[in-house]
Amino acid sequence: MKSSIKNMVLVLGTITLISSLAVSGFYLLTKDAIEFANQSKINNAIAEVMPGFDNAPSNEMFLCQVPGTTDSLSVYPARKGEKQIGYAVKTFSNKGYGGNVELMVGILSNGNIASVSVVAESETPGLGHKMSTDSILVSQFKGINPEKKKISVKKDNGDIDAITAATISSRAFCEAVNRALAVVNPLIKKTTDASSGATHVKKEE
Amino acid sequence: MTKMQLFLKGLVKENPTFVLMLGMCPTLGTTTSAINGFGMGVATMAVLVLSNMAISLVKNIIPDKVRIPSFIVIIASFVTVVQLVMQAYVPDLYAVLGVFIPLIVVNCIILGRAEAFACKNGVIDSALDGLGIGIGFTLSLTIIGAVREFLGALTIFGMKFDFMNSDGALIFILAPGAFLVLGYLLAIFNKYKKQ
Repeated sequence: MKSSIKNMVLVLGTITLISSLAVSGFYLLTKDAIEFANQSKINNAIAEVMPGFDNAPSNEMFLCQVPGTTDSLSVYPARKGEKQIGYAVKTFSNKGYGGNVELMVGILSNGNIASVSVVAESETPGLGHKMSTDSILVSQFKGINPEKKKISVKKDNGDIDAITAATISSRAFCEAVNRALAVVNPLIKKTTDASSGATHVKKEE
Repeated sequence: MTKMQLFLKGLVKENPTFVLMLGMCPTLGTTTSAINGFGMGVATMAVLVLSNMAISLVKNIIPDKVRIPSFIVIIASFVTVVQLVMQAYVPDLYAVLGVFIPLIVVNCIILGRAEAFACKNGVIDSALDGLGIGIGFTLSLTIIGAVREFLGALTIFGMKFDFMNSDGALIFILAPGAFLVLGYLLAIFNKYKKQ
C-alpha cells in the first residue's frame, strides 16, 4: 500500500487499536487464573510451614509493621478450632545475591519455628538457588527455638551452616527469618500474656 | 520449495541458534537447565508462529514506511498474551524465565522471520516457517540446557546421574559456561552440517 500520511496513520492506528483490544481481552480472561495461581502458591507455602491448622489463614491475613522500620509483612494466623496455634509470615530480604529473597516462615505460639519455605528467589543456579531445591538450609530451621540458636551464618558467629559458596544468599535467608521473628514475637507475647502466661517468650532482636 | 522442506529447513539448514545465530541473548541467559531452555523455546515458538501468521495476513494493507512499527506492535501483543497465559497456567516456569519472556519482543528471530519471510509469503507457508524455526530454536535451547545441566549439576531434566561421586562443574551453569557450551556445540554442529 502507498506510504501516504493518511494511510500510515490509519493503518498503524487500526493495528494498535486491535492489538490493545486483544491484549485487554486476554488480560480479563486470565485475570482469575493468575489470581488463583498466586493465591495457591501462598496457600501451599502456608501448609508447608504450619502443621495442623483448620482455618483458612489466607482469608485472615493482616499486615504487621516490622519494629523499627517502615516495612510491613503479611501475617497469616493459623488456628485449630478456637486455639491459636501459630502464625505464618511472608517475609523477605533484599540482601540476596540476585534480588529479593521471599520466604514463608511458620512460627508456633510457643515461639519455636515450625518450618520455613522459599516463596520466591532469583539466586544463582547451583549455588544460592539450592535454598529452594535442597533442604540443607531449610532443615536447619525445622522446630528450632530461636532463643537458643543464633540465626545467622557461622561466618557471622551464628549457628547456621551456610550453603557452600553461597554465604550471601544464606545470610539473606537468615535475615528474612529474623525479620519474621521480629514481627511475630510481639504478637505471641500478647496472646500468651493474655492467657495463663505459661510460656515466657523473650523478645527477639 | 515444498511445504515439508519449508518446515524442515528451520531444524538444520537454517537453525536459528547454530546457523543463523539469532537470539543469542535468551540462548545464553535461559539455558541453565534443560527444562528452562525448553520452556523458553516453546514460548518463543508460540509467538513466532502466531506473529508470522498475523503478519502474512495483514502484509498487503501495511504501508512500507510503517512496516517495522506495525510488526513490533503485533509481536509485542502476542508476547503479552503468551506472558499472561504462562503466568496463569505455568506459574513455576514463568517465575524461572521471568524477564526473558517480555524480552521475546526484541528477539531478532521473530522480527527477522517477519521481515525475511512472513511479509512476502502466504499464511500457511509463514506458519510452517515459524513452526520449523521455532522447533529448531527449542531443540537448540534444550540441547544447550541439557549439556549445561549435565556438566554443571550431573542432572538432565532434574534426573540425577549418580555415577560419579561429585556435584559437577558449577561453571557450566554460570554465565561463562553458557559461552563455552555454545561455542563447542556450534563447532560440532557445523562440522557435521558440512559433511
